[in-house]
Amino acid sequence: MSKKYALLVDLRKCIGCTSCQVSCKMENSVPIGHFRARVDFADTGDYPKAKRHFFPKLCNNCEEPPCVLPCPVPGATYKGEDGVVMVNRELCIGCGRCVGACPYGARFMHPHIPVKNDPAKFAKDVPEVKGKKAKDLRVVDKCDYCSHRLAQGIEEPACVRNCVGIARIFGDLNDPNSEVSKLKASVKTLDWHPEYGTKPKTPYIAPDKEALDAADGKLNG
Amino acid sequence: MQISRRVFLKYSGALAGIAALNKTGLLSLKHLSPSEAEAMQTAMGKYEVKYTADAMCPAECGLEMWVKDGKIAKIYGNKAVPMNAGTACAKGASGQQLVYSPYRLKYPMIRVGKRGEGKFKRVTWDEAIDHIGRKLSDIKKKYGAESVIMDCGDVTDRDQYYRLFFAFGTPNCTEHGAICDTPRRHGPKLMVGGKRWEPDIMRPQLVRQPDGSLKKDYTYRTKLIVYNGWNPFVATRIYYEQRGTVGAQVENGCKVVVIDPSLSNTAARADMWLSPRAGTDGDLFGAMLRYILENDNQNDPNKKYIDWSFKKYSVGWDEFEAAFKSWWAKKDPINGLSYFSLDWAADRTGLSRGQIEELSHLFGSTKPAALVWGMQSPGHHYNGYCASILGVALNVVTGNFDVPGGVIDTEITKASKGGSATGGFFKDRKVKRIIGGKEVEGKVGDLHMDLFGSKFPAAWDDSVADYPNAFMEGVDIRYGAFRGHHYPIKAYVLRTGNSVVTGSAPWKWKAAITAKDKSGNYKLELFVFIDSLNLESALYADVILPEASYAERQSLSDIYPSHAVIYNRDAVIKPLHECKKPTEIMNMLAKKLSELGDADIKGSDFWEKYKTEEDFVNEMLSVSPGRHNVGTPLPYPQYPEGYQIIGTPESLEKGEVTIDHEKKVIKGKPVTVEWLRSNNGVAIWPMSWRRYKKVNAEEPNKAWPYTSTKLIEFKWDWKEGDKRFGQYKSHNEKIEKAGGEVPKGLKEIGFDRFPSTFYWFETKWNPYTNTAYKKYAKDYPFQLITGRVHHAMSGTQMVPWLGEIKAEGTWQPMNKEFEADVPEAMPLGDDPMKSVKMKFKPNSYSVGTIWMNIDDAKKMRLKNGDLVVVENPLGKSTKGKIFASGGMRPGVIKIGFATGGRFSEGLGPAYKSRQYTPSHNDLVDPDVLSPIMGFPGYADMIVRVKKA
Repeated sequence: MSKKYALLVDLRKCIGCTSCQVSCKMENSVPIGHFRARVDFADTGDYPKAKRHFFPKLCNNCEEPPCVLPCPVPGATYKGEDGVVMVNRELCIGCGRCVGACPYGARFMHPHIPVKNDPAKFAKDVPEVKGKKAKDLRVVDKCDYCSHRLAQGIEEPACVRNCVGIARIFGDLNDPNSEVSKLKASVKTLDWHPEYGTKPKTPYIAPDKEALDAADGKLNG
Repeated sequence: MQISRRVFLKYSGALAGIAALNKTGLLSLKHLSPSEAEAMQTAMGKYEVKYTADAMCPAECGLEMWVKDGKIAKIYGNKAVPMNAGTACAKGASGQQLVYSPYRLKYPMIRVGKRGEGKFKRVTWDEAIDHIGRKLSDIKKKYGAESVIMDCGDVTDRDQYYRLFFAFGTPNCTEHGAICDTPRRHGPKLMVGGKRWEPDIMRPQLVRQPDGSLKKDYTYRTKLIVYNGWNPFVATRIYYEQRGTVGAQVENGCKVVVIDPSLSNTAARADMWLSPRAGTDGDLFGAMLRYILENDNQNDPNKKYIDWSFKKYSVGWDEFEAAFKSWWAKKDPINGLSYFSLDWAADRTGLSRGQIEELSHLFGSTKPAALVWGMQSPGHHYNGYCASILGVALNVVTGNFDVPGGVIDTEITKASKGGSATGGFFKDRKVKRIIGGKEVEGKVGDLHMDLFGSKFPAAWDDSVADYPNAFMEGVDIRYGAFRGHHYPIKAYVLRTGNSVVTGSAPWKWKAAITAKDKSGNYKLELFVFIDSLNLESALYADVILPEASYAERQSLSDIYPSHAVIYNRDAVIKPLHECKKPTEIMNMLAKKLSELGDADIKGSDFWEKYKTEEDFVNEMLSVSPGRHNVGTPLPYPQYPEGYQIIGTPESLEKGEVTIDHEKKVIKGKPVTVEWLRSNNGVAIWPMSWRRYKKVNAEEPNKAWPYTSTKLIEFKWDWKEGDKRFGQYKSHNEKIEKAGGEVPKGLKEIGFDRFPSTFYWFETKWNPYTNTAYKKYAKDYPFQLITGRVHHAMSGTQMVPWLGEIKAEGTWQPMNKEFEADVPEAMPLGDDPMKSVKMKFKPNSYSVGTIWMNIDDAKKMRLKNGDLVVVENPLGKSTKGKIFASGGMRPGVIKIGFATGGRFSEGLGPAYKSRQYTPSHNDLVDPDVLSPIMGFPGYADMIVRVKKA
């Protein structure tokens, strides 16, 4: 059976240090102002009952990713056999449709990686790239669970490797003995906006459900 | 990454059929294309893994830096190092942006303008060293070597500089500890010869098993942790407290209590957050101890608070208890209540009587537990000594000291390093001075400005905050061999420190460094600044030397694990720009001084002895681990109990040792850099607990802890027969030999000697505990506290990845639009980082902010982001934007330590926000230097707030 990778976030152990956010930037050369992984903070409540929530966000690598269908170039973005939603930098023409299609804001155009594929080939159906040259367009980037590490047999994304609270657990949901499967089976987990129907693969152990609601609050600017 | 359904909904029609489409295979391409697979393989490439440590931060975690083509490409935690067990925090992982920062110091410079103007010319190393050498030689001839201060700022890599300046003839060498938290360390130092008390939550620990093997133990045993003014989740120092605290909570049901006026990130994860008034930590601890003593019932399992076996391993409890209880009969002038009673503590701390009672009972009845006090509580208050002493007492009497899951003094369990490399022996050299027309002989060490000076003769960690006074008025030696000697301070060498901003009030430092004598020359004749970073103090320097960054120089980790661990901080890349390593700078300067005729400096002590930095580090390692074979399970059951252990774990395990029964030393093969490199960079010796008792008997082993009696000492100066004991003994002897002359610090609190057991005095600028300040309460209704968040220190403020983070209420994205050169990661090409000019939108980048309670803010009609002026009774003020939340005790304001008002361009983005970010230290009273050790009262201040 093929693998089904997932990344579980245990909010009981998240200490809000943002190591995941920065380790990801280090590993994947993510530009300033953009994120493959991010930690949200929310200060809620009145003194002395005040709370602060830490809410680490990353691409859900959804089972039914809404970002794939809008892509006009077959294979430029796709879901791999192991469940990871990928961008093929050779094929992407930088139209940006997938960026808007992701309700979680998990994709961005990478300012330092120019498009390689010739956009002219698609200009007829994709007005977004009409009249533009490859060098003027930028490919899309997103969390792919550090697929370059996976390709080397290192089944541990950089954010998991460095996670200070050991709050990020990565593994194969198809393997019932993997740590991620065992945790998911034994502790109640929640998805972030499951109602979008994308079947996210980032389960959260969240003793305080308010953390998920607070993640989209206006305090998080 | 914000939720946005606008475009998502546009495609939602298509999504309805997503499951069906999935079956077509469109959503699941089976394999990577060959070109993609190849690209990924190349992306991982071939790296050289270097084991090093993160000296960008005091936690100094063990790191793997992956190097490609001589450049740092990846940074991960070193899995072999138990401090961080393979993890790395945001700071650690962001190292490339500091090492490759465009703002680093790149070449030596000599001042051409006035001090503070920041006008310099580029010079060669030879010119710079020549300039410094000649000045130092002149000063030594004219005023004596003691007129030179070597302030190493950062602890790491101080040894080379200490060695040079001790040999030069000045004992006045200091480091960061002097402005860190000395009052907090005081209790441990007095009572066990230690420093930092931390919970036993470092996991894994290497533990000897009954079958003789060694095993990594991951079991959490702690049931309760009380962090008072300690915020390990954000202000990292003891790194394992991050994963350990949440690990103990989730895996062992440990309860966590955080005591802090502000909802720190640690408090946000706690089971109980108590927010007292600032500066009342000792009050709370005193009330806890009194409650435990009064309510202990050995027959009621729920109230069996005290474990009286501690008396076997300690001395002086009866005297301590009597002195403590003598206060109960007194009435506090501030509230008329009996000292340390629940009502008294409730009145002063602002907590309720019930909260204090609940905490006292919880701590007394839960075992094992750890009570921890941090730099943001006793550390920053004038009377922090009292809290620190009470903290030790609370842990000891409840039976939590050095038990599994309890609290550990990490100073006396960590591995030793340094040894003779640091050159302490140079201080024993005999020198002569003319005092009152008479020639007097003594040791170099007897010239120490604090230990024998008129103010703080027990300042064993030095009083850096008093330096501005020393620059202005010189030093009066009032104790020891050179009593009566007065000398000026003429040279200040500052290395990886920024005392102009951090060493108490910046305005006082600036005034002292720029003060001139009658002929118009600077009183302080030479100011040298050595660093990788271009900090504010550099603006005032005469000479600037660029030092290799932490990734470019080699030394050893400076860490506080719960048992002996040491690791190599390897040089990962070659020094960038024209930067040089400390060993090289030491040798260059030593050679120059020798050429200029300084007979105290010899080639055999410097450049002939240390050809490389590795030679120096090997000498530092020769004393490691230097701890004793004590505790349960005995680390080395095959060797005699109580003996000192030196050598590699491997040689000790194999029995490749010599045993000196006279000196009680077991010596294996010395740890070397080479040995460390071939063992993932790290040496780990076994953990044990109850290190104060014999392994097979209920009696002290008399080898540990490191006090005068090798027992826990509740008294600090006493006689038995004709022998005198205790940590204050030598300091009181100094006073006695000086005819009873009372040092300035003690005079301030009405003491005429260092006390022999429990003592109490009030802090300053606190209208709620000290009657002298009551009159200010109405006009200055806020207490001002400080504390660092690790994204916002000098080095980290230069790192844009950390500017994208917000931390608590003192580091928030409230910037105005600005443009700055920043190091940007490059996904393609050979350079991991490139400097680019970038524009930052408003409220997109974190800056220092002023954190206050949201109801307090509403009353003043203030809202988030409003610019305010914060003013103290001394007429000093600072400006900043407010962050208001429910996570702050009403009547308290918090500003990050050195997080705003940064006026060196070398800070990069942080410099751009200097006009609207607050400088906490500008509000510190520079005359509040705590009486025992001369430490600044960083958190003893009251203020008022006005809309700007």
